Amino acid sequence: MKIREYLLRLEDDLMTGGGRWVADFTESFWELPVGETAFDMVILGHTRPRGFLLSRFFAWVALPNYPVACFAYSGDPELKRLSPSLKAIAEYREKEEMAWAWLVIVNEGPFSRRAQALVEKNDTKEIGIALVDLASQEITASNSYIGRRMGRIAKRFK
Amino acid sequence: MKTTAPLQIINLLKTIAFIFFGLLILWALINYLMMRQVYLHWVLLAFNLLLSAALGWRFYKSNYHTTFSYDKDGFEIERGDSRLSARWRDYSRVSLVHLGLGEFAVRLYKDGDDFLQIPVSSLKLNPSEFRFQATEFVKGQESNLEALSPGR
Repeated sequence: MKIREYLLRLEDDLMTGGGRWVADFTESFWELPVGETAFDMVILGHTRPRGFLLSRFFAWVALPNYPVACFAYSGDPELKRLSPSLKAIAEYREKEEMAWAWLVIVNEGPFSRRAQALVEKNDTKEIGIALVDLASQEITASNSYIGRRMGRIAKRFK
Repeated sequence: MKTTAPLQIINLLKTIAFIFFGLLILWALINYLMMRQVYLHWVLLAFNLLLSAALGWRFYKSNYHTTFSYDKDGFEIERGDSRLSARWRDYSRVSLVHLGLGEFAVRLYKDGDDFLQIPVSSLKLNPSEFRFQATEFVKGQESNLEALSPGR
């Protein structure tokens, strides 16, 4: 599977309800510059699902409506772009008052052991990171609740 | 220029049904107020259906029906009685938006948060492919207009 094909699947899945237990993703940008870095894809959403009639009313009454986002970029097996990307996401989060954000890094091959260890050790609550190796279909997620949820949602290989 | 103006059958049927039941309730109310009973006959229902279809079609054409024409330089969108034409290069960013119930739109942003929304699902265009094509037009790149296929 190619990177573009994977990102299109992830986008379609998130926007049509794949992440509905976590957030309702509604708007997607491709090749979006954020701060000093650029992401292949950024999908914006809110924690409150839209629903229909009763479920919409329940969501409106009971659930907070924080903005959230899923950022994705590709071709960085050594995670050289991770630090500037996290900085850009943190600034964007602060500016948009986002509750949390996902960062998906896609590669058509394995990530280095150092990169995997770095992500597995990361337990930042507000940013969940997932490394997606399209060749082996292996996913490495960060060790926070948001990261583990992203790890499950990122399995969009079929 | 490539033009698309598909019939939005759901919107048309919703309009006709709304007018049909509206007229029916109005008829029943007038009957009850004047004669203290409601007169109903299949001929009356058939006439109501024909009237609703005619009025519904007129309402649909003036409020919902969308015609979209575009080429690599610009586009023209006509919805009901309103019409807008613009150049792709007037916009700087393109996004794909899920409106709910599987309906998608493509948003064209000017500088800032000011945007124009193209209802691509209603126009029976492939939302994802049209988004990429619009992005190329906004950047000023050539694109193959025949590459678009309907549906998502």
